[in-house]
Amino acid sequence: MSARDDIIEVPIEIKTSDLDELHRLIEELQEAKGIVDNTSATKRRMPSSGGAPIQNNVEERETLGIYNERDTDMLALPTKGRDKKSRQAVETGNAFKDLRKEVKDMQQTQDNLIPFITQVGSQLGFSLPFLAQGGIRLGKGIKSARLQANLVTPVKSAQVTSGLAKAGITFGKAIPYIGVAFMLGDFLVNQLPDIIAENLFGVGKRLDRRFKRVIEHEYSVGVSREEKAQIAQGYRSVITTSFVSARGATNVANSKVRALNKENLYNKSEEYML
Amino acid sequence: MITLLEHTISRLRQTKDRVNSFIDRNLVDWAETEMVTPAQKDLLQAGLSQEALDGLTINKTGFMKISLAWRYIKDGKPLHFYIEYDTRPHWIEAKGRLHGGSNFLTWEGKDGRQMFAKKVYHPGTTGKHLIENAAKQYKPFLKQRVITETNNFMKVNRL
Repeated sequence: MSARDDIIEVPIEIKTSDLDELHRLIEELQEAKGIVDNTSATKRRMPSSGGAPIQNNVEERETLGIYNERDTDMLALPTKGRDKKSRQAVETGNAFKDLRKEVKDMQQTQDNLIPFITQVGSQLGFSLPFLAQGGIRLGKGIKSARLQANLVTPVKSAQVTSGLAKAGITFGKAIPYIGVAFMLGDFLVNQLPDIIAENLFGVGKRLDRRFKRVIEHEYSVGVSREEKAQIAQGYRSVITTSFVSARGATNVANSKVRALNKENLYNKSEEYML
Repeated sequence: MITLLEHTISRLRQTKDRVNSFIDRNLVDWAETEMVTPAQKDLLQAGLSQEALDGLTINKTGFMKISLAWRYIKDGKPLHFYIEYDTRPHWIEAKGRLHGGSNFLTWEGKDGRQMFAKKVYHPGTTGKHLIENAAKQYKPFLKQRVITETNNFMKVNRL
């Protein structure tokens, strides 16, 4: 209680005990950091000067632990082929790095192989009609060969010869249709679903499931001439942000309440409202 | 390890500063809501005039420091002192016409008669300590408000 000249005052001071604890914690951490700094900077004591003896047998020192990397790399630095005075960084071996490299190589191989297979497949698809034409020619060739052979040395049955020829021709004629059927099947089974999915469910398309665009919310705010005039003359400010809590006092209060109730702050239906 | 420690230290410091400045920014508002308004209601019921209650305010005196202040001056007299603190026994004398007053003091006696005197002895008054009591009474509410608001702030800002 104090009376300052012509006024009565009761001083009130806020002392945050939790924050004092925080301050103490910071100090303790600072001390810990100092200890760590000193430890890393202290030179190792040699056995001759009273330090612990150097352990040569690595097997005895080995510990069991998930972070024990000495299983693969026993030495932190290579002992051979390195200039001791060099300050260049030395990359030590690491099993995880090797595994990652292996996976990367496999990925590279697959990346190279898949276009090759695709190319072969497409070549085959294109060559099927030509193969069909070849089949027709083959059938005709068989027929003519048989006829010529019949002229030289008649076979047992002319009907058999003509039947074979007809079969060859029929098969040859069917080959293009078979090729087209294969191509059509491939298109229907593999390519058409992708095209449909891309056009319906793709980015920004009608059935894009990631967000639903409400077009009225996007343009309705700015279309009124009165509002445009207000914006142009500076009577109204437009906050263009997707962060709901930055749009005004009401939303700030709402977002705080939502945050306290552990609800979702980002109402997607309001995302496009200015 | 050292980087992690440094990071943790700086983050803790930042958090402490942010919370402190948040409390400092809003302390006056909270005190007005939690202390001044209910204290004014109580004092109004105790018989103080609205004019006297208007002088009850919160002043900011420093970082995270405020004071509940009262100032009520009428006819050039600091009445807030006379109400709040004890007054000593003293003599009251008539001013006299030469000094712009009257030559006699007058008042109505206990039996209803008009009394006159040149000077009277006032035995003094006991201070009501209204502000001191109000500060004692409503300080815990302010404390609770600070705790609640700080917790909300830390939740919202994920500190």
